Amino acid sequence: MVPSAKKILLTAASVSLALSQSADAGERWGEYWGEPKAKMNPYVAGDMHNHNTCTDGSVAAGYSIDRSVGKGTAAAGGKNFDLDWFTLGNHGGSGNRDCRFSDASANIPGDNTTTYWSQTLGKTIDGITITKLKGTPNGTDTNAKMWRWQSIQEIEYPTIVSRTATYNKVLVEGLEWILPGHEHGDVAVIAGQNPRGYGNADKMAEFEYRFDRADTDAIGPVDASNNPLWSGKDNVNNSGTAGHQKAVAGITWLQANHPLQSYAIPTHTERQGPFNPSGTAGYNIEHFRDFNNAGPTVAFGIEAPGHMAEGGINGGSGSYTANAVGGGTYGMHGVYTAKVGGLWDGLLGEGRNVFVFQSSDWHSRGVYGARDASTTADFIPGEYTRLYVPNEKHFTQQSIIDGMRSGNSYSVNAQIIGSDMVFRARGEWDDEWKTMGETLRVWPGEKIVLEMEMTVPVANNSPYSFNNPLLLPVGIKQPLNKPYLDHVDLITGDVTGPIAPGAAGYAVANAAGVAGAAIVYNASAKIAKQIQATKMKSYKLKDGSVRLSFTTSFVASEKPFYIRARGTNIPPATPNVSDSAGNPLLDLNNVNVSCTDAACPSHLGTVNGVKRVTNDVQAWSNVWFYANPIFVRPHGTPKLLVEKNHELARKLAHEHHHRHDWDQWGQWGQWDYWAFNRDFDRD
Amino acid sequence: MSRLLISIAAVLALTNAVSANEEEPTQETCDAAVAEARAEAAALPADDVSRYFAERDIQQALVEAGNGEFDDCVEKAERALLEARERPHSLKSGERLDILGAHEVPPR
Repeated sequence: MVPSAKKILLTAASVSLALSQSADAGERWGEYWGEPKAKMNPYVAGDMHNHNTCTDGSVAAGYSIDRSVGKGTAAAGGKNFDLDWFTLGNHGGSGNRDCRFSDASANIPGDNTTTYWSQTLGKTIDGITITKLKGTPNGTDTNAKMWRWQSIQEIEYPTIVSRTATYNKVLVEGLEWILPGHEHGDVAVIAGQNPRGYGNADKMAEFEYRFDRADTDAIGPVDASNNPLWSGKDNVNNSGTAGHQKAVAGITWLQANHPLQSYAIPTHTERQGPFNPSGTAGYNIEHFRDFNNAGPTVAFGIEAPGHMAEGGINGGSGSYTANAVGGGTYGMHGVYTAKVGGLWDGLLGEGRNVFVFQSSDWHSRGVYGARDASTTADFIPGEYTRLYVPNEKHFTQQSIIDGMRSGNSYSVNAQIIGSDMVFRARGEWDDEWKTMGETLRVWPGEKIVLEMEMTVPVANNSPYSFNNPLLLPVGIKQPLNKPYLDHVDLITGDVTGPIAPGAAGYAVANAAGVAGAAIVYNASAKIAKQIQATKMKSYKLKDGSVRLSFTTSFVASEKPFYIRARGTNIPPATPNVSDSAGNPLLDLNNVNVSCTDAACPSHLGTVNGVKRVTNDVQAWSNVWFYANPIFVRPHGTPKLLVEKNHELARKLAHEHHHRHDWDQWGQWGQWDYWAFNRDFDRD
Repeated sequence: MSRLLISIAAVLALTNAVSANEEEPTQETCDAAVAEARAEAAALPADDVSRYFAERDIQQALVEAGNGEFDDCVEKAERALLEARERPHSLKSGERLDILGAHEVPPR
């Protein structure tokens, strides 16, 4: 008899491991820094964007966490991915399925019947009893929906609590915010959360109720006298320009109430095309600027798309259609972050603290079940994409947000590199190194020394051991399950200072499709150096992984600039994959390459009966990592916005006795447009 | 290659049709898109692998509708429709999709 999944969850091996013992390449940190006891990884891997059956995912909330942070193999089959931290980032709005159960389509033994809220009211399941669907009635029978603020409070947060005890890892209750007037974004409000014993996700739920455009509930939670606890909701302005203003109000609310305990990061930002002033669609650069101005310590990023295995013969990787800005993905990133001189470089060119992150956007495995090794849609968190933030001796929820806000973070696909990247710079007349998100101060003419180190692991999670079909045309035979780094690009761009709202260049016309890829936001951005892996110092570590390093230099001018890095397995001028400079082409071009190995899986799209590089094979073949920028500012020039916003975070932490640990603060003052109300002081 | 170009053109036509419509998709829009895709898929032989792909997309479209995400519902239904019309998936003799059934547990 197959054991019930519910029992499986309760009897899952209890793992009690400190984050410093996570089993990836970084465990060897002590090997090359000469500290035998220093076994702590410099960075820890996580995921902040994933789904379960509370909204449109395919598996139960608990199952999703089990597979993402558990070790070894799940009891009913399927590899676990051992993430160090996990932020449950499910849509706002409502859902009709009971997310203590998986969907039938996931094919999980003992948990293979789609279950609706209307079928379980009053029953105690996994220790949770839901007696009623609260708020404004929303559907009947199997279409009766629970508003997300309720499932955040009463299903997901208790699940986070139970799994924290099981795995001893850092779990957060978050949200994929369906922004008024826009596409989606990742949000977390950790104020009040403490899954190690007490606390709640009330603040996260309140944000969802107030500001998610899919949450049209007009009641919310009530007190003993039936009075709404969260009054004053704007349930009208959910689209177009008015919707954008509501989104800005949401970020202002985060900045005012939880400036160090929350974030709001727009995600798959190109997918729905440009912003639509009379509808609900994507983002233009002015919207990122508005968000960062309203929330200098909470709106500090862009998330590149997940859904990396969705690409069929018509495209679709990242869930992007031809109507997305850019017309699709480029090396599994949207064009805003993949294009040198694109939207991200435009924001960095202002000196903004806007950093890039990437996560799985896990929903389902498409035509496969949750335990199958192949996928035609998404990867489970940790399987393909890993978002790294700095490790700490006492790593907490606050550490995740502090790490992301600092910019000292990088995102890796297909484990092309591990958890121990070093990317730092210093002036030749100074001993102080600066890393991602930080600002190096130098004298004009001073040489800047830049160091980079990374470990290419011996294996990744790919189920395929045949040679990468995208690399065969350039004569490289590289198994898909063996990570391979071809080169690293060091990309630089000038920083010319923030553009004030309404000033020329603040808003930039955007375009759907490939026309959107032609827009240049920072003409100074360029691939300044391209370092081939074969030119790096290299040595093998005990487990067969390879440590690569290089040192290079730049010369400081009289102007501030930034240096960011990306790496890939794709050489420049690889047909149908990269241009002669090494930039990723539109991923739809990968489909022109056939997958002819006898082991090419049966789910790949075909043209005239011949399998093409699509779905998960495409994702495992076209691999990139992105590192956030180091800023460089000559002495005597005004502080950059990134420095000012980091100073603001430090000031807030000091003023409010921020303990870098769980606590809860009350109402704070308004910080809207803080960035533009300050003098540009010089040092 | 010509089939690929036709497919891309079809996707462009579908996405442009959505973007040209300023109205947000509704439950009714979703229901209509699902019904059309379902009819197209049902016309395929029961063992056609593209029918299976299309039915999985339809299933996800219904999930999106249950979550109130009607734009995603329409998008998944359109993908199912395209799958059923273009049939980009095929299995060679002896090939199968390696999918674990809910009653199967792999050996550890």
